[in-house]
Amino acid sequence: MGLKEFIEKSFKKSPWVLHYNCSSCNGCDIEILACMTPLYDMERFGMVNVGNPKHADILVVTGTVNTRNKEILKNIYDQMPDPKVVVAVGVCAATGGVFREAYNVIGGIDKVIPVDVYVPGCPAKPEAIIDGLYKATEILKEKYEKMGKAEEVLK
Amino acid sequence: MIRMSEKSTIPFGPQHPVLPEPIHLKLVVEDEKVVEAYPAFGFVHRGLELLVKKKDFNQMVYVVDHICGICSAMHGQSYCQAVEELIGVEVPERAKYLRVIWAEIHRIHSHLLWFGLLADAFGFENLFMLSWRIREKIMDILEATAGNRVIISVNIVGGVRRDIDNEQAKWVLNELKEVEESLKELDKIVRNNYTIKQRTVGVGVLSKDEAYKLGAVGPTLRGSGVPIDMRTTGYAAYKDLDFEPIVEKDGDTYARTIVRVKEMFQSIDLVRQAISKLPEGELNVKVKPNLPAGEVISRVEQPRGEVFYYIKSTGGKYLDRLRVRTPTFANLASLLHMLPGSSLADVPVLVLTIDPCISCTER
Amino acid sequence: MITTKEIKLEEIEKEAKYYYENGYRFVTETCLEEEGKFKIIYTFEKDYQMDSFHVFVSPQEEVPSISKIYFAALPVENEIHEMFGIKFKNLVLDFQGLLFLGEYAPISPQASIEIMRRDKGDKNE
Repeated sequence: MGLKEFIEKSFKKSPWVLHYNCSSCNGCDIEILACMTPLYDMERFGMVNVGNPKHADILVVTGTVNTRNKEILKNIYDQMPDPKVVVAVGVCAATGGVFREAYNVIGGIDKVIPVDVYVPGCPAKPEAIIDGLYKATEILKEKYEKMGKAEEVLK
Repeated sequence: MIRMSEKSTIPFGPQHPVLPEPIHLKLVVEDEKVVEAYPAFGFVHRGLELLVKKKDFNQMVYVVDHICGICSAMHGQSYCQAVEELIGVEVPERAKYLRVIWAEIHRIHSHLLWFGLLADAFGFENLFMLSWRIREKIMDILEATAGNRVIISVNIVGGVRRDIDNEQAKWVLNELKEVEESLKELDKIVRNNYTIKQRTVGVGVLSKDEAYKLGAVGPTLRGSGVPIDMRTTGYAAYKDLDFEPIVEKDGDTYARTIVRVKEMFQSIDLVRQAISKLPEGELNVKVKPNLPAGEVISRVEQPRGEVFYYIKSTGGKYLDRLRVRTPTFANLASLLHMLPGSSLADVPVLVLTIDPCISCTER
Repeated sequence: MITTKEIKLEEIEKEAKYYYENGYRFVTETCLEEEGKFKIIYTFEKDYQMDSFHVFVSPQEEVPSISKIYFAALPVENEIHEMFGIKFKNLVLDFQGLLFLGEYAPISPQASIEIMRRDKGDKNE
């Protein structure tokens, strides 16, 4: 198997995940952390939590966007290399949830960056998060294929 | 050539691998020593206190539950206690005991979570996984008894929403026995492990006097030898339960770790006592839709320390003012006091030693 | 229910010093609006007994900060300045109203009495 086929085949199987907490209540964040720990073990899908946006393929965002972290979220998203997938975890990330009416809240994260997968729940259960992340890997593969083959990525 | 004694500023956060939550610290360092530290917040600020104008006092319970996901049961509890005192309604005894049970289970979950993060902060990933594995059992208990894993929303003004029947109580006790066994293992590691002691002993020392004067709360205060625990004021059912505030003398990160580990055993004991004394009766009482005028302060001991709720009403369905002073907000002064003079490599441990909850702090 | 005693603006520092010297712990300050004025409630605690006093502040007045006496008052006073616009004198560390709110956040969001106004930039961008 050549390098090209190898990358194509393994791309979906080892996405790196970056988690950013917008203004969440922590509920979804600790559930995402719970996903990485022994009981749920996200790593069996090849997903590794990383801290550097330039390493990441999937951006997991929890919580609503407020006036201060709007720029940071945009910044992190822009730094990620293509193809990238955004997963919004929890109702707050989707619509603003219970915080919708608060003065410092702008709304769901789709007001700032495009979202591919919405995971519902308040907070979202680990099973649901893993389901959402698995869906994200499929979208990632689709995007990768759309981007036009491995050669262009390798260039 | 750059001279080594020159000062430089290092930003820490907001998106940092060590932190599950965004906090930004501007650290002025000289060589490897931190000279000054300035925090910047606001990445989680939502403005929940002002939501009292838009949601009535019953709906607000759900909002205060979402101030923080880790100690949500206690936020709801202290808010409900404040409103109940304002209305002058007496909560059924059974509800008081159930509140204690859920609060203490929450405390175990929060301390285990913190312990894992501390282990992760000093690079002991194995211990992080271990403590989070134990925590999953606690989450199962919460899910089985309250219906949700993290934000359980069991409190309402006038009592609780859910019940724990005898059979379930027996199951809870059984599960807690297993948790206690695993905790003993954890306790052994904390007391004997070289790595933990290396990273925590003598780090972030607060003397008894300093901790008291800086207004520290919770394990940060008790780790320095001040026996202040809001539970001893006897709110909910704590007046009928037997316990002593846990105190350690050294005032460093290690002492605070020991306090939290001991508190987990204490919480298990409290749950056992509460279940054995659980009285029969109603779960909640109906409250009138309109509030009387007045102002009330309610304080509850959360995993991170004392939370302060101030509510003011001028009558009607809506509260006039809600003010929440969360434990991390009170501990900020201690953190700012500890950071200067520490070495840069200790900063993650120092930040975690007060058990920061940024969602609480910023509301 | 709580009862607080009212003191004058000038007496804040003296009163705080009294609490400090008598071994009280600083709990918090609470700011609210009452009859067109701001009311700040200072709460202290000793042996689980809370003790409070309050002051009334009109919009033009500056409040003497107690952060030199109680360092723990620092974040609270910065927060009050940010949320209500009240100015504090002699703050140990002044965040200039950027502790919690970002550049584009609404100014003094919790106050209906206007003290501060943003000079440049829109309210919500």
